[in-house]
Amino acid sequence: MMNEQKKPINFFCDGVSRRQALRIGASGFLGGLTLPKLFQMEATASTGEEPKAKSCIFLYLQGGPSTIDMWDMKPDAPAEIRGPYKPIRTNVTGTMVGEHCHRSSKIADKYTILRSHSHNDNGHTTGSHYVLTGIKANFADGANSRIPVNELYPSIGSIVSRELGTRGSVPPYINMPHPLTAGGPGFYGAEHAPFVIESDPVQPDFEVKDLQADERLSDLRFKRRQRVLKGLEKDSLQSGRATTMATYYDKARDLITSPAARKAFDLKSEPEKLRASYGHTSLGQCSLLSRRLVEAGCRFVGVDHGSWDTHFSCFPSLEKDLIPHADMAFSTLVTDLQDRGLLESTLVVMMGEMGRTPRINDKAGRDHWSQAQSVLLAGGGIKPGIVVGATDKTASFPTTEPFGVADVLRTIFHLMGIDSDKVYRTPLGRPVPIVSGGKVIKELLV
Amino acid sequence: MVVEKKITEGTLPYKRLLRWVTEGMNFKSEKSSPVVALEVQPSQFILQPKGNQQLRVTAINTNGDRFCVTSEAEFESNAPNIAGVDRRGGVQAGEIPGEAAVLVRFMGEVNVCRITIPRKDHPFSRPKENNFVDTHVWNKLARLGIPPSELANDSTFMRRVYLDTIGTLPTAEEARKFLLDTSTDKRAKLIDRLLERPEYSDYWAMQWSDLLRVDRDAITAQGAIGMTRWLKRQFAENRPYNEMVREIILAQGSTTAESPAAFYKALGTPEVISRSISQLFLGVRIECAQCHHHPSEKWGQDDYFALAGFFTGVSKKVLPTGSESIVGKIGNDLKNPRTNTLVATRALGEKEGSSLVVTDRRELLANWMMNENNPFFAKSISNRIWSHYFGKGLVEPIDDFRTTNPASNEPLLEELAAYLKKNKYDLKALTKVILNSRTYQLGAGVPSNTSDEQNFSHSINRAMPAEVLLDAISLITGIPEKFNGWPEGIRAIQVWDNRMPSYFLKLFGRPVRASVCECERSNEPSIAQALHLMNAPEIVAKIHSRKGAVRKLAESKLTSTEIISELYLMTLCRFPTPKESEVLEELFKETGQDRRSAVEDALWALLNTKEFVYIH
Repeated sequence: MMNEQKKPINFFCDGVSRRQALRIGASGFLGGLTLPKLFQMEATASTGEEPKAKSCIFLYLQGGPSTIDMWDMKPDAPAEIRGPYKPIRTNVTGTMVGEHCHRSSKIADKYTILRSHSHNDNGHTTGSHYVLTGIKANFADGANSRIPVNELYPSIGSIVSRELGTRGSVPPYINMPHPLTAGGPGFYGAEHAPFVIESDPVQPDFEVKDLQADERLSDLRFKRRQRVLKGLEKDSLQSGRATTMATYYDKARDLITSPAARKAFDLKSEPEKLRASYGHTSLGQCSLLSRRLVEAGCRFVGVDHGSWDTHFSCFPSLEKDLIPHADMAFSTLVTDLQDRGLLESTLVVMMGEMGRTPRINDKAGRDHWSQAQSVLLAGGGIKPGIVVGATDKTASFPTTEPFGVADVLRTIFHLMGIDSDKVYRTPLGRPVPIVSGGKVIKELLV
Repeated sequence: MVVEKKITEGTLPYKRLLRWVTEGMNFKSEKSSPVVALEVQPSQFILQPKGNQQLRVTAINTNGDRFCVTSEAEFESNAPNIAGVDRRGGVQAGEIPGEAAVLVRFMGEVNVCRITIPRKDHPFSRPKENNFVDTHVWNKLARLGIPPSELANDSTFMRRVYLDTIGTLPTAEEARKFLLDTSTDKRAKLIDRLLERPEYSDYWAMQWSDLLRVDRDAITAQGAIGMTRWLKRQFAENRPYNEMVREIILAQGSTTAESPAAFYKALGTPEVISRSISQLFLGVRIECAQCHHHPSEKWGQDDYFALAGFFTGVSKKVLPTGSESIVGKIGNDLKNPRTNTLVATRALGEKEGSSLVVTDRRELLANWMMNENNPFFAKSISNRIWSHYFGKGLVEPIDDFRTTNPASNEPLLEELAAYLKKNKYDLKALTKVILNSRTYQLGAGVPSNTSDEQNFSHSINRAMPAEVLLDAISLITGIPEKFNGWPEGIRAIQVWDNRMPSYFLKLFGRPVRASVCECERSNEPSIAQALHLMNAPEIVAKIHSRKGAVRKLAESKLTSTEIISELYLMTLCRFPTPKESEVLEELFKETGQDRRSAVEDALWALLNTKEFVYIH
């Protein structure tokens, strides 16, 4: 539903009204405020309040994390449901987490667990589409197909990119170490696609490829080449794909020419002690790099962390790899952000496209379960140290008000100062609001 | 969470369900006669923008009785912005011209109704027709009121047909010769020449290796080499397509020999084999029906297991040498796991089970596929070839033929398939018809047709496949790519090893060959691609190499004007426009004596134009 009761917003985030802004554009009495800038202001027209979160780090546990073994323990349930792990106390009285989340248990006052997240899409690709775009995409062959009939809808990161733009030298929306499934820009177009770092920061030879201008080339020649290229392309007619590629070229050139951007990607400049405490794992080093990118002005970092689809013999991999990696990365990230005074302005979200079945299957694994998943949130205006919502005695369904995909998206956008009811038109003219339905989860807010 | 209500209190279905519950929920009625067919009226019609039309749906049961089920049927439009449909079967056209299909579903049966919304503002004048392809395309465009573009110029056509047919750019020499040739049939002659080039078989073997899952990790290096050699020979000899597929389906013997036997090694169980073969050669995706009735087709679980029954005799035998051999034995029927009954082995859409008095039942399936009247086989390959040359199939996705996913131009697809059959499945003959059509040779979109995405009124920009782009850069710079462990000068389209580490190939979307779906090859552009083309040390090294084309040009006797022409022919297959010449002449003036850096900079700029990266 679009919120029709809401009062029309007359002010942009900086307190300039639309009418004033138009006047500024017309007379230009504020130096440098050009028409494109005006559009930019219009595009960032927001809720009018000072946003809490300037950036968001989104740790995506792809495949579906077994949150019943981590953040929503059921010690009183039968063995085939509660699983082998014991709950442990945290530094918040009354909040318990799984025994393999012991690092996070020591900082439970800094984050919040949303236990009543629930939706009804039980597929990976379809679920990712739903969670990341807020819209159930239409698939060629139902949930089995990997190919949506339309890839029309923008993902959460692309929306943030469009609404907020970058604050610094790096692109506003970055994915690593792979592109997020359904993390694309949809009908927003290439301009809002993620910059994908296609290599894993945990690798010893990690580098963001092709960023360094070739040493054979002087600065003069680099500029000359760009000038010649521009001259050759001036008159060429561009459409479709070629326009897309042209946008990417502009972005690529910006990256190469900015020393600050190159510095942001330089993970090696972090002290080894800190790197180790994030964990020498893909998720750990991605989380650390995310922090650097947020410092350099990135608005939305999507970290793709796979292998959570634990259908068979799940406990060895959960306790040896998956949970410890997530526990280290998440707890160190939150602490590190706080130490640097960045937690207040950085929202951290850790979730998957779904949870896993409460009942352990006959192959000692847990299957897909979207009806209940615990989501971790920290910083950026999230009320810390609480648990929101609860599930029944088997963690199958929420017993409190269930919060769906649209509610989570709305909450993230609210914290970032983005108006979820804003409407954009598709190339064919159909109006699509940033989020359809849902409401801000008030319980989560400071 | 919002749960959509399927049945509202007080409505007819509500009352009906309630009555059934109060009557004791009988699942079977003695008088039941299941629905066997569905009719939609009108099944095809033209609507004006903003117009509307009520559909009528009739169900027919086994006794031949007809019932109106309009209010019970479900409706779904594949393009709601062009024509939407409400729950009662009312169709409303939007303002955008185009075509929509409305899917109608009732009791497991499906049918489809097609709606055309023509544009009115352009009088349609029919261009010249080169062959039947144009006849059908113009027919369709005339009905929609969309004018086709003008013919592409010689250089655009030449670059397109080289890259599409043999995955290779023409050299500057070849390009110049073609452009200066004044004979009127030079396009047709070029098409004939290209189809005889050795790169034709390299390029098509590469594409079929993607489809036949020539994955080193799945079938070993020897297996991959054997399959690649076999495929190259098929295309080099222009083996009739039906014979080639028959050999694949009946493959036997060593999985490392020059044969398609390793295909079976990559696939595994009868279920995986049958659904892969169905998708690949029939264009029918049947995997949904493994667990339940296909949601938008007539295929049920029985159809799925009946088809898989053809492959139950396929087994792998380990030879004393340690290698494996595919053996075709008698085989058996499979059980439908839901009903727990045996399903007689039969092909898709056949009523009768196949008589199985043979030693290898795959032979029966092959016979059925290659039968003159098979509804899928010839259409599926015609659509695949069409899609390669136009960037979009007549049926799209290209391997998803369904009643509910009709071809955008059915008469065209039918005639292409008929032509192929008439010409004994000669793929080159079919390719010639397509390439010689005016439709293939059209230029870029113009304002009056650029929004058309499904009727081939203009050419579209298509990304070069990763291997083709890499080869093009190597050819132009004169510095072949070095592939670890491969002889120097080997081209990316010749490399059988899909796992060979290559950042370039990965970045530009080389598939890992994990499925028989063409969709695995990604052609999405990205910032990382732009960064690489612009700034990768490997590409800079090729441009700057002492042994490369740049050095040769810079040290030659050619004037700057001649060098500029040469660079344009090498990269874009055309001569520069006066404005472009001016920009580059300026560059030569600026660098003065240092011609080398001028040539390097000019080539760098040309390789980074959008015109270079795309097939137009």
